[in-house]
Amino acid sequence: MQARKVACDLKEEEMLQLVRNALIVAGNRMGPSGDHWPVIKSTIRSIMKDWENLKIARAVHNEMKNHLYRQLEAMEKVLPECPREVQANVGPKLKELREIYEAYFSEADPDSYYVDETGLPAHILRTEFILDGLEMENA
Amino acid sequence: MREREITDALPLLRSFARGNHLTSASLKAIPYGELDEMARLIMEELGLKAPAPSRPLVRTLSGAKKARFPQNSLAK
Repeated sequence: MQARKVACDLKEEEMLQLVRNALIVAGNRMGPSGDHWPVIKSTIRSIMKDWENLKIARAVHNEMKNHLYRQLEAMEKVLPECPREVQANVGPKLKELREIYEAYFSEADPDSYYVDETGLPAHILRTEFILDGLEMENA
Repeated sequence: MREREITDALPLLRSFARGNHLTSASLKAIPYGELDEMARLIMEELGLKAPAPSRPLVRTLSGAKKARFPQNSLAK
């Protein structure tokens, strides 16, 4: 309950910082020096890289959403003025594209997504393992 | 204070780290190139000129896979 309250107040950048700090805390508990530090640092780098990738993927997604929206709007505006045979030919394709657009770009409840979690990379599994360890220590 | 914050948020930090990776992967799986190609072909049929993609999109679309939208379905 407390965790949920804390997370609600956190921005994504702050969450990222906390993940980084949590990994450093775990590293310090394993020892101030040792073989674990290269692994901890590499894990942090990979998590930061995931975050950068996500920011880029979101930016591309938003750009594509606007780009396609402008095209759909222009096409739907012109279609009623086209000859009947063009309307009959193009209308269904335009409808299909609109449906695909809505499916890809509408807001959806994240809990309803099907996410294929097989093949998660090692740095994610390692992060989860380390955070689980911290959680058990603090329980 | 900071360590307390970490402790309180641990379950969510775990899903945050996983979520970043999975969301990024699922967004990348959207066939943007195919969607753009579909729109371009329909626009041509309507006699419209497809707008140039914005600069951030050029790289994504130019690197996208060839559209699988059936070309013959657009034959006049």
